[in-house]
Amino acid sequence: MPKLEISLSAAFESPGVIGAALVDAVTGLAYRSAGDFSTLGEAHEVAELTTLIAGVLHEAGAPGELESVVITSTRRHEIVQTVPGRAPLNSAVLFVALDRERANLALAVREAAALAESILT
Amino acid sequence: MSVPTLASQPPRNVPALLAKLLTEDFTGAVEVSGTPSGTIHLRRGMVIAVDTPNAPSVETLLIRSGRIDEAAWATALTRRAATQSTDTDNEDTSDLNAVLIDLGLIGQGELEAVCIAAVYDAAFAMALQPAEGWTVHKAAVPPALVTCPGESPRTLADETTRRISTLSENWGSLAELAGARCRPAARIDPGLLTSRQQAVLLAANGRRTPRDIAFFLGCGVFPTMLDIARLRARRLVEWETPRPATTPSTARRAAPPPTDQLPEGPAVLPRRPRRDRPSEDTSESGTTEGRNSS
Repeated sequence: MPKLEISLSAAFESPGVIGAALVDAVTGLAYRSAGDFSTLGEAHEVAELTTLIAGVLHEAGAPGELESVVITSTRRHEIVQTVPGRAPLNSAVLFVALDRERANLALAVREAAALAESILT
Repeated sequence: MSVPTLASQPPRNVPALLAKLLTEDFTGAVEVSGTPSGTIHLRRGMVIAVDTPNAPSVETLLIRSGRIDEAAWATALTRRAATQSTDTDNEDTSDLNAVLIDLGLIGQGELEAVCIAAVYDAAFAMALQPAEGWTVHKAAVPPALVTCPGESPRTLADETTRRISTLSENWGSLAELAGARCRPAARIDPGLLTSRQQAVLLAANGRRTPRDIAFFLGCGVFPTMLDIARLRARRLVEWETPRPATTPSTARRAAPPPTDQLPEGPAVLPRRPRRDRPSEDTSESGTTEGRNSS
């Protein structure tokens, strides 16, 4: 089984996860996805939003790089976690969608960051 | 023009052909002729690789981007040639894939992502102009690096449509954007740009098209076109719109400076005069007046 699919299905082991996807941050292409992750928009829309946020931070002269965006609706959390880059020009983001009833957001953010660290290895 | 070979009812276009080949569980290749010629490799109907001169290959993406060093790539090719004689039948993952990972040059997940990205980018690059025809080959050798299990032809067609409409909604003529030989239009503090934007601006030298910049940087044609479209929206790049050959430009051209007045030394390059935008001037004087009067 391909590595990306194995990594994404591992995300479902933590409580409340209903969807996960690895997405190209520039093109919005979902490389691989599992479960229901599009409740807050299509992959390319969320990638555009993330690019916009990163761009605004840059233009405002904010120090450092964007690491994650958390979108919360009354029923869902969606974590957009930047994947630490190995290639300088091609960046990827990890989406994790969670059911608010069952998820612990702080734990989920930590686990999303850990998955982002390992998914490209 | 070649004639579709497989069916009594020929498919209308390449996506229709791929959809039909998926139902037939077809393994082989579709050679598309046209200005953006290319070959679509299929395994059991799924698209595992798309090879076209109009978009960087997986190898180009990895080497030109600096992700894998050229000498290390050569080592991997040698190692693969050595193992090929002993290990002949490895169908699931190509052996170059395994060698690159064994040598620690790239992670499995990252290599998968690059191969997937290359398929979508090549399909986009081929879709920029209509195909003239195609030939279906049952026996075809796929490239060394392919995606596994492959991309669904339907998803590939949908994504390509989305990419074309994303760009054409913002830019109208895709042909103009694809052929634009762009150059930086204004000076900007590099701190205000992402590293990608900086790289694209540095590569845009007035001679390269977005495709050339993509090959130069080792990134996709579609993301490069997106970058250029966004930089243009911020007035950071410009290009001359191609004119019909029948109406030559009547714009006055500045006479070249006499050669004896050229600055000495190789480090000093001629600079385009900086264009101050009139809106900035008026707003500046406006605020000053406002402050004085109050």
